[in-house]
Amino acid sequence: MKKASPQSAPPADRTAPAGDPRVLVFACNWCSYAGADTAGVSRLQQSPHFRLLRVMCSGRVHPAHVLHAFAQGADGVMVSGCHFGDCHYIFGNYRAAEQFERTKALVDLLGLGRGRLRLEWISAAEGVRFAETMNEFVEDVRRAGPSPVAPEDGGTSAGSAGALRTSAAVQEAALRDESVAASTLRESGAFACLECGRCTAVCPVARHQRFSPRHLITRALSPMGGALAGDPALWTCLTCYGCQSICPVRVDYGRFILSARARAVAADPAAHRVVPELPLAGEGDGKNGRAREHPPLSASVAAGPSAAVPCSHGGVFREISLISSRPGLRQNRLAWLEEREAVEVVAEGARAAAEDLFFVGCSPYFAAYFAGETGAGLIASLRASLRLLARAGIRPALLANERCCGHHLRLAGQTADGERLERAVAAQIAASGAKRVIAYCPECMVALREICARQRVACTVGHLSQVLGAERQALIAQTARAEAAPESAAGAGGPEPAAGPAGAGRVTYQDPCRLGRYVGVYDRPRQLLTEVAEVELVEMPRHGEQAVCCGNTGWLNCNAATKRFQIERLEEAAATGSARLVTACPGCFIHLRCAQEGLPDGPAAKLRICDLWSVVAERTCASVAAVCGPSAGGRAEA
Amino acid sequence: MMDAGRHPRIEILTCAELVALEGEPGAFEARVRLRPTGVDRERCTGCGDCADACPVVAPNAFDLGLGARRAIFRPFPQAVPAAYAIDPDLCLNDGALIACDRCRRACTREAIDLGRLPSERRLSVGAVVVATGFEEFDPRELRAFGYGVYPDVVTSLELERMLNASGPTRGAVVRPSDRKPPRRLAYVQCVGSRGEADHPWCSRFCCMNAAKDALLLKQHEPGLESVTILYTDVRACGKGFEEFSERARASAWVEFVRGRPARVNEVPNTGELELAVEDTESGRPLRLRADLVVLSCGGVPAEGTADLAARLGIERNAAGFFALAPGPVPVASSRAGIFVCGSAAGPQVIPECVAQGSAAAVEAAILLASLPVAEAPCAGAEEAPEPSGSERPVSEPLARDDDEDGPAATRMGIECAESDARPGGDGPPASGAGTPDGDGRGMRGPIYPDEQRADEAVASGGEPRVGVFLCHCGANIGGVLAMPELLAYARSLPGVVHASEELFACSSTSQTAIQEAIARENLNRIVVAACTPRTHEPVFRQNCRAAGLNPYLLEMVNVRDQCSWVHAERPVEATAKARDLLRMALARARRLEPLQPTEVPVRQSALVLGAGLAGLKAASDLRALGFAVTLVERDARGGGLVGQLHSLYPDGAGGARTAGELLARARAAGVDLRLGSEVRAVTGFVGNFHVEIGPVGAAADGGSDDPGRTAGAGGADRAARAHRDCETIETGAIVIAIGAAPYAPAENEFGFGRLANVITSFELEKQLAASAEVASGGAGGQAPGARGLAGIRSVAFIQCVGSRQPASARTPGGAAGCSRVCCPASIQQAFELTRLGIASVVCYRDMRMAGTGAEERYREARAAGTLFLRYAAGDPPEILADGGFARAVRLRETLLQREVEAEVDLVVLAVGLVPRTAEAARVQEMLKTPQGADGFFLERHPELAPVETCVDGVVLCGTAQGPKDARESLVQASAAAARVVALLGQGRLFLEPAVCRVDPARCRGCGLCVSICQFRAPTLVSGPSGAPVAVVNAALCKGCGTCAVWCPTNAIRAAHFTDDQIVAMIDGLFAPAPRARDEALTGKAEQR
Repeated sequence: MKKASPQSAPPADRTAPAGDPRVLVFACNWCSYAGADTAGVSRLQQSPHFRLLRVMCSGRVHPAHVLHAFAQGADGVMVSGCHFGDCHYIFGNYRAAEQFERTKALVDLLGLGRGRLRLEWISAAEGVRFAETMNEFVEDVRRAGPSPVAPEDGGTSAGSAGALRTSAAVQEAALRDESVAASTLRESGAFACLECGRCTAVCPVARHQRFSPRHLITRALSPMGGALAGDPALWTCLTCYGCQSICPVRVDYGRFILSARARAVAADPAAHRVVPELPLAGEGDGKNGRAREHPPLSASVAAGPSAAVPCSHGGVFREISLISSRPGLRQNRLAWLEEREAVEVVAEGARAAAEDLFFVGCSPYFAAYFAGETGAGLIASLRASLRLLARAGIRPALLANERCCGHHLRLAGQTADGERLERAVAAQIAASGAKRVIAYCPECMVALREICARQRVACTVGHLSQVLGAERQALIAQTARAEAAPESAAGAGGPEPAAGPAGAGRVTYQDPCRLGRYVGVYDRPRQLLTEVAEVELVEMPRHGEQAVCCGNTGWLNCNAATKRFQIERLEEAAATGSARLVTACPGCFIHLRCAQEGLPDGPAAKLRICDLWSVVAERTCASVAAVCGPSAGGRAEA
Repeated sequence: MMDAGRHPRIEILTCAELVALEGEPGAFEARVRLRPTGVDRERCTGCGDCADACPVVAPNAFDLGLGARRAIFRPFPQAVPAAYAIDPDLCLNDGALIACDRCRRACTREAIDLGRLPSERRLSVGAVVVATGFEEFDPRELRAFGYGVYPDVVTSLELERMLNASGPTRGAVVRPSDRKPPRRLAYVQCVGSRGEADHPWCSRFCCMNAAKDALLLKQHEPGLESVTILYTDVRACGKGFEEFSERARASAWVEFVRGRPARVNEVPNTGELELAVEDTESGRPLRLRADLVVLSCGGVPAEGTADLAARLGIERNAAGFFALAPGPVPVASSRAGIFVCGSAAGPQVIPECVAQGSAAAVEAAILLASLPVAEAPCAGAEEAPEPSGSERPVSEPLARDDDEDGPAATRMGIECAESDARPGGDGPPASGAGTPDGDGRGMRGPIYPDEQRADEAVASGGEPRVGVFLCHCGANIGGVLAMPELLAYARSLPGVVHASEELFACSSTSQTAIQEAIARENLNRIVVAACTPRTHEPVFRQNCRAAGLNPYLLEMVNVRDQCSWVHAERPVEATAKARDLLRMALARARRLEPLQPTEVPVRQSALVLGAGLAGLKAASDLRALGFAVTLVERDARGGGLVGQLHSLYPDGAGGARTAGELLARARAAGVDLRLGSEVRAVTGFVGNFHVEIGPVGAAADGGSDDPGRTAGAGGADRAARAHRDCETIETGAIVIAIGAAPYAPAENEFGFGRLANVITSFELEKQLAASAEVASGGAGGQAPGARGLAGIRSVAFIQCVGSRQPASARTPGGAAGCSRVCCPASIQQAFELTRLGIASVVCYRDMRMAGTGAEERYREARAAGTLFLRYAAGDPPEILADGGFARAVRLRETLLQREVEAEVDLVVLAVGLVPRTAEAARVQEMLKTPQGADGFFLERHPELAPVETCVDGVVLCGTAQGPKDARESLVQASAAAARVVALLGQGRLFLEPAVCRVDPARCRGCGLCVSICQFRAPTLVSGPSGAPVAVVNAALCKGCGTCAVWCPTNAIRAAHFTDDQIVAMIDGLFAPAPRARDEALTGKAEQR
């Protein structure tokens, strides 16, 4: 007597089990999950290839959750909630729809195609609709085929193994593995540490949070120090290299941290996900703030009351990096490219004619996620960089399917995935035959340098500012010509209004850590500003080697403490009397802008945060059309 | 029902019957006879082995004979108690003579005891609530409809059982004759109602039931071609009912035909039935063919009602139902101390029944509270003991338990505006498939028993020791899934230290087994693979608690609704899916954390907004139960709309007098009455609201949507006192009773405003009052409008002005819904006019005289000479004017099929009730209680929580919720009072711990959470360093977790649905290793 309703019966022609789609459905407790129950009590036969994950509200679903599912092997993901007006939480489903727009944009960029992702509103009473929708979606996903980015082994080291291991086993492994400290000390030279505390004295984090770089090393050195793996302090360091620059014995603190994190994650893949935040330093004792006694590892894994995911934005960018490591990835990441004549787009595995490879980095993803003014600014900055390269006579190659440099993964200690990604990126660069990689982002630049060295890719890696700085005579010449051409003054591309005549806009410059202290590039960007853009540059008191980090790298450390020193930094910049704060890193651009939001009216709030490329490009070239000559007049087809 | 069964202070006596009731209100002695069921309900686990052994097969009465059952049986799947019972009429055991005994031998728990004799109990009770319900009319006596003659003529209740997924056909609708799905179906309305079988009354629920079934049928049987509903009037009066019925009417396969069939005949050799009916709107006789005829049977008094009435010493009404006494207690019977609720007093719709149940409880509590005996009256107030008079189990007539029965709308067919296939956007939240307290955080918040033990079994950081319990749910799960394989799989999963199978995990045996396993294995996480957490999480949570384990350490896997039931035909895949879901659950369970509810005190006072009928009643009730009540009313008089009425339907009680009496009662009871005041601001949360009250008009913009209500007060004087008089009070709960406003006709709508003698029904009411004064020789001379009725000989009423408007023809302020009160009001006015010698013509669309005695009243009006003219929706009457005066009404009479013209001296527009938009917006702004698409405040659930809002501690009653008559408003007011008492009576409140929390160290104070939360739970405060930091008020947080998604720094943690837990579930699903493992288990390792 089981009732099989014809319209909801799954199709008869089934493929082999291995080919069945794996579909995850986030369902809100009140409507969609209840709709599934209604379908259940009505015995509506459905496709057996989807799995429900119950959340209280569809608004609870973060884009990162969806991407995580894809990263873990989902062929399709659905988010399902109440109809508008029916939400148990009044407007939770509207919020879900807004977040879903972000998810969709990211999934599009990843080239997964729309058929794999869906948003549906299903009420508690709509059992039939539930069954039909699921059958339909499973069939859509089946048509779309297996996910190109599913892990080959069915899962990744990041999560799945973590789900299997008990926290006791993790703790035991971490405690037993003495090499966590030993090898880390060897690699970073930390055994030479004098325990002088200079590092803590300059550490921007230590000013605001109970964190001490020195204490961390002391603990690593001492057999009584306990396991570093479970210590929140390990995840607090920004790797800004501020300490590095003044360390009398040149301990490679960044390496120390990355190595220790990698080992911690190897011991417990979930270690990076759930770490309690260190308490804020009280007023006045910031400089000498010490790391508190850390809670036992198991407590942090079982997520004590103060536990939080240290990765901001739900870890969405790390998921993108993870997906980026998958061989089947075919992104759709160049939609922002205005004039394809200015560059050479290189297909996956193809060889480029150009010797220079322009490495774009994550900015298209950042732009999709943040959207709004920040997103527009990032895209404008990318376009400006290409215009500048064209002005300097460089027509670089761009990888159509450029993979992530793995910076976020390395910072999060996920070396297994990081290494897979590293090999894939190295292979991509090698295949393109590029002699020189021009990195747009300083973080990519540092990562790619190491990758090319380790993977023996025969090419040099430089940052865009280094390349353009070297070519600045050409740019200056072009500027003169651009000034003569009236049409170029229109300023069509940049988000920032034209700066006006030289000297009118006073600017100050924020050194990105990885451009400054990591590779020592301090002058090139400044020259671009003063000589090419011809703006008046006023330095902040802490600049060059003493520059302060923008407060976040690898999306790990975004908290009340970093906000404090970001605001300090903004105030410092405003105090120079500059209208604009210019930086050469998309990270600084995003994080400092974020810190500005909600600031009370004042000089720091009024400060315009700009990227170097837009500032320079608005002086030299208004649009790519002006750069690329007559052929660029018509838009190239994608 | 499960709620009541679990309640520590409710004892349910089934198979019990009242023999006699003696004594006084407050000190009754009830003699109750208990029939043995033959089964010890403590021992019975409900496994069903006995039924399998029983050789007797008989028609199943609950399935109305459509299915079969044994002599030992469970009345219906979710019966409370869940024990089996023996039908003595069927059982083969006859004392010592014949010993069948098969069941006794089959029962491993030795629960069956055939030797018990009937017994009697004496109960001392203070009050009695009669809730014996009604019965479906037996259409056998109407031979013309062929019921009992043709198998394919069924009653609406029989169809209901077929539509039910757990019914005899498992949700398939079939013709009983050949078990084939019907293609053409006809509904015959008013079977046993409105004249049929000499039953004059309208049964109220049948119209909506037919409309609901018409929609539902298509879902169940997509092959269905048509549903024809043969009706007399469509009585869709109730909140949202009209809209629903219009939706049915608009469906392609549904046809409404106005006409009642004369006869149902079989068409020879076709298996079809033919109905002879006149389409009264065209005058054409039709011969409708249908292959299934459903008789919409009305409600009749339950069997034994007369008997019970005699034993209770209470009166019955003309229809034979228990009579309700007039007056301000809407559920009073004719004998003090005895209250009647639900359909025992006449057929009802579910929201009304639920409200009446609460109202009866409150009245009983008030009675008990007034006794000299110092017994705490409040605690048990909400669920007063419910005696049963008839032979059937008490709760059967209103069965609304929810388990596998699915949407309540598919059951019991009483009404339907509930879980129907509601389109997006315009309905109240469809919490749908019935959650008795799957929610657990309604008005009440989570109520934790006093003896709640601190759970120490899983101190934080304790290594997860997971116990997995796989429920067979009889054959529901075990019949499809490979249970041994699943069990082995569960054991192979990390952290699992115990796994076992249970026949019915929710049975008391299994619950005990789970508790024992928790103790023996020192389990600190529990995974139950059974049915849906939406219904059973409370059961298993309570069990965890009983075992000393924190209830939040439970995770349920819904392998029944999501595997065995919906993939029954593909057991291999269903089992594979169950494995996946189990793995996901394990991953989450291992990361579950114990959560402790926070206790907050509850202020022992309530605030009522609005001193209309409902507000006054709610305030008086609350005061009578000993709570401090502040009643705030913007108007200087109080009394609300009713206070402006001359006479009230149905008994002609004076509106102003009724309101005045209530006002006086409230005053006398000690209600803190603040007339001419308004609420300025509300902060705080359930149990602890801070309310700022000040005089009306003192605020910067004290705009009122109803200018008439604020006029006449000493404005200047008040303004002067403005700031002085503003004060803040503390209150535990808030009752919204701001009422509704009469629809204001648009300019020149039916000539209104242009023609001097076109007035609204409310204006007529004033003139009737004035005329009455003149008649009584009072100071009528100067009464305004007294002259208005002088010289008037005939009046035309135009019904549905401002109501029942399709979207395409909506006037400003007009409503899509039916206003419920205008039909009875017009008839009441017609009577008054008749008394004055004035003739009335009522131009109507459907005469919606639903409810006890209403249809009878309609008949009387016709007998008294009132003329009723029916017009079609799109073709309203035309007012013929003569020099600024209406002279006649012309309309196309749909039943006469011709244009008619009636000369009248006065045209009365029967205007509907519409929301007080501006005032409602003000209240919504302050309290965050949502309004529905119709502009009325939205109840939390139309059936299960009709007076609660989605804001904890804020309840709703009267016409602020939707149009209703005076009696319904009083009932709702008492029901609202009941909810408030249930809240305040606890004295303290346990706040749901599964809420969001902000880590101040991660919070950057951006305020995104503040801007997206609808419940104002997060706020920005100044942190230790002066920088802003967000904090979430746990009392306001609903735990949806949306803010956690928006927080850029992941500083917000949504407890019980943390990122960590969600990610772990995703990882669990896609984990490679367990998959390899389960392939090894099932020997499918090669397949990949």
